[in-house]
Amino acid sequence: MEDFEPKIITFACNWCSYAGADLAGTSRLKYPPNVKIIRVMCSGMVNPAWVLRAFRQGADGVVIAGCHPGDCHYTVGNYYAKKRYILLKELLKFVGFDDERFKLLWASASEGKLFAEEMTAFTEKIREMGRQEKLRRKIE
Amino acid sequence: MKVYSGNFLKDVITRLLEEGYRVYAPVKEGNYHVFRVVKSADETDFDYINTKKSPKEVTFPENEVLIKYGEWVEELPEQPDRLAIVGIRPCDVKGIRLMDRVFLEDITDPYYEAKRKNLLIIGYACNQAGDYCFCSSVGIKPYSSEGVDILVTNLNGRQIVEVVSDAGKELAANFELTDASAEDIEAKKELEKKVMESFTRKVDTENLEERMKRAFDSDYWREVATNCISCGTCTYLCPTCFCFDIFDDGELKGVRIRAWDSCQFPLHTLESSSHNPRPEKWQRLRNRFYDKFYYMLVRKGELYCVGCGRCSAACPVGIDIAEVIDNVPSEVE
Amino acid sequence: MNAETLERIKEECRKLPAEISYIVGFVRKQSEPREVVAVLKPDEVDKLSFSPLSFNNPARTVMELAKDNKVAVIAKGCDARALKQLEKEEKIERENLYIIGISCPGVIDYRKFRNTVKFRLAEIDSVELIGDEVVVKAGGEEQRIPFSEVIFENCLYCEQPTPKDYDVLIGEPREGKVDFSDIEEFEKLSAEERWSYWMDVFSKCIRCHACRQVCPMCYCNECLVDPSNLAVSPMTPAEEKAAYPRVLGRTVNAADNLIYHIVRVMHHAGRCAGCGECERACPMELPLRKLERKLEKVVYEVFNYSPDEEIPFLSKLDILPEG
Repeated sequence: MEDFEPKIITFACNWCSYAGADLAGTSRLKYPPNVKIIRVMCSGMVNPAWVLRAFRQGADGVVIAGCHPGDCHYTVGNYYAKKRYILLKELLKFVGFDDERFKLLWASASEGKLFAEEMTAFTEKIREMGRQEKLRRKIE
Repeated sequence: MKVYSGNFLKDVITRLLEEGYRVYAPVKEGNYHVFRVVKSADETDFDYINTKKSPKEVTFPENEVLIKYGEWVEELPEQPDRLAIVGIRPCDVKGIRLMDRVFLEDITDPYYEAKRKNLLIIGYACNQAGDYCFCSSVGIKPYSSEGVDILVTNLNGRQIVEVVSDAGKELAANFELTDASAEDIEAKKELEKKVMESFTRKVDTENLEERMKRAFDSDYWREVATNCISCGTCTYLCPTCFCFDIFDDGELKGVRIRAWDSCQFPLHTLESSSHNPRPEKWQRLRNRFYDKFYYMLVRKGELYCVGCGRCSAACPVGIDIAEVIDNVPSEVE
Repeated sequence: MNAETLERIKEECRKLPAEISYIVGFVRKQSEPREVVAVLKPDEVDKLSFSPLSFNNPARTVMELAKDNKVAVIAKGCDARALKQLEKEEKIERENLYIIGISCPGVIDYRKFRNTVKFRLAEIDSVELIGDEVVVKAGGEEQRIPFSEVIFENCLYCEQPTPKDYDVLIGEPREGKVDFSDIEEFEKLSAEERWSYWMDVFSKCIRCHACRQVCPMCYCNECLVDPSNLAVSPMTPAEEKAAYPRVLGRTVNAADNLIYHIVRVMHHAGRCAGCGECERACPMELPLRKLERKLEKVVYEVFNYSPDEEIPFLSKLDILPEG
C-alpha cells in the first residue's frame, strides 16, 4: 500500500504534552501531520473507551501523552493513566489486537524535541504496520 | 399425507440451495442450536428440541440497515429475493404469524414485508416437549401445520410430509413422495397424543384476560421482579418481541440502522423531558407480561406468547414466564 | 451441599439477632430443581432451600435491600467477596449485614446438568452433593453423576471457597488457590489465532447486556456503552447533549461487541469477585470469564494486587511498575 497515510490520534494533557507539542511547533521542529492531537485536561481523564472508540472510527494508532510521573498538575492523574494503559494494552494483546498501535508517552512542556521525535518514530512504525482493520467500524 | 424415504429436510435444503434460495436452518453451535444461513445440507443438525435464539432474525434481524447515507440518502439495502427457513418448530411458525400482524397489519413495514413475502417455511413437528415448553397451554399444537408451506414429521426415522400451501406443492413436486398408509396415519396420531402428554408445564389461561386486568396494581409484580436484573435476554430471545430502536452510525457518511430494543432497559421508555413512565424494574417486567398476555390479547385477540420457553430457560435469575402467569392472583384486595 | 447444610442454614436463620428484618437466601423454583435468590421474612425460614444448584450471587439483591434494612444473607465464598467489595465501595454497610457463610465446594453448571441428567427437570425431587457425586433423586429413582462432570468451570479456579468475612460459618473452611493455568495456556496461541477465537466468540454475542446487568460490580445507573448515554434532564442544554461522547451504539458485530466487552471488563480491574455470574447469565454461553480472568492475572502479576486488599485498586498508587 504505497499511499497509505496512517491516522494517529494523540490524547495530550493540557499541562505538559500539549504544551510540549506547542513547543515543537514554535521551535519549528517537524513531526508528521498524521498526528491529530486532542487536548484533554489530564492524561488521567482519558477513558479506555475513547481509545477503543478512536480505533473504531478508523485511527491506525492511538497515543496517550501526559506529564512525567510526579509532575502531574493534578498530582496523580498520570498514575491513573498508566494503570489504565497497562490494563487496556494487556487486554488488547490478549484478544489478538496489535497492541503496538497503542502507546503511552511521557512528555513535559519543555520536551518539544522529544515529542516530535517520538511522534515521527511512532508514525513510521504505524506506516509499516499498515491500516488498522480489526476494530474499524464495519458498514455492511 | 405423504411419506418420503430419505431425509426430506436435508434433501430439501440441497434443492433450495440449487434454486438459489437463501436458506436458514438449525446449526449446532457448541451446546445449542441456532438458525443460520447454511451453504450446504451437511452443516445442519435437526436433532434439537428448539433453537437458542428464535428465528425472528430471518425477517427481523438484530441490526438492519435501513438506508446508507452520505450527503443524501445514497442507497437502500438490497433485499434477498428468495428466502427459506427449514426445520422451524410450530411455536416459532406461530411467532412469525404473530409478527406479521405487527409489521403488516394497518401499517406495512416495507423491510419486513420484502423478506416475509418471499419466505418459504418448512416446518418440523415436535416429537417431544422440552423441559421449558408450554405451547399446548397457549393454544398451539406442537404438530400444527398452520402457517407452514410444508410440515415434516419424523416418525420412527421415516419422514412424513404434509404439503400445505401452493408454494409447498411446487417444491414437493421435485421429490418422490408416496402416499402414507393407514398404519402410518394411525402411528402419527399416536405420536401426536404422546407429544401432548410429554408436556411437564401447564399454564392456566382460563379467564386470563379478566385476571390480568384485575391484578395490574397487585404487589405480586414487585415480588416477581425481586431478582430481575433488567437485562434484555428474555426479549431478545423471544419470537414475538418486536420493539426496535433506530439510530445512525457514522457522522457524514454512514448507515441508519434498525436494532432490537428491549422494554426491560430503563432507557427504552425514557422521554427527553426526563420523564420515564416505567422507571422501576418491576414496572418494566410487568409490562412484558402484560404485553404478551393482556395488551395484545385486547388489541389483536391473540396471546403474544407462543410457549417456546426460551425466556424461562435463559433467564439468568430464573424468572419463569409459565410460573409467573400461572400464579397471577385472581383475588386482589 | 446436602440436606445437612440446609438444616444448618435453617438452624442459624432461626436464631438470628432480633433486628434482622430480611433473610436473603435461596428458594427452590416450582417447576425445576434450581434455586433462585429470594427475600424472606425471618418467620419464613421453612421456605429456604440450598443445593449445588444455588448458583446465583445474592449480592445484587442485598445491595438494593441493605440500604435501609438489616439483612441476613446466605453467602458462598464468592458472594461474600462481592459483598466485601461493595462494602469497600460504600454501597453496603457492614453493620447492616449478617453473613451466614457457606464453605463452598463449587456449584453445578446448570447447562451441563441439564444435558447430563436423565430425568425431566420437573420430575426431579432433590439434588445433593455427597462426597464427589451429585445425587439426583426423582420419583424413587436415583442418578449419580460425578461432580467433576457438571461442576461450573469457573469454580475449578476458585480463589475463595470460604468467605473471609462472616458472622457464622457453615462447613469446614476450604483453601482457595490462585491458578491462571488456563489463561497461560490461551496466551500461548498466536495473535491471529487469539483474534479469530474472540471474533468467533463475539460474533455470537447478542448484546442483551445480561453480563453487565447481572454483575454485582456493575451498579452504575448509566453505562458508558448504553445505546444512549445522554444524561438527559430538562436542564440539560442542547449543546451539552450534543457533546456527550457516544462510545458505542447498538451495532451488533463481532468487533463492536468486543469493544463493549473490553470496556465492561476494564471497569472490573481489581474488583471482580470471581463469582462467574456473567458467564452463567450469558444466553449465548460465551466464555466471558476468560477476559475477566486475564485482567485478574494482570492485576496479580503486574501490580501485585489482590482484590481482597482494603485499599481499592485504582487508589493504590504505590503498585505501579517502573518506567
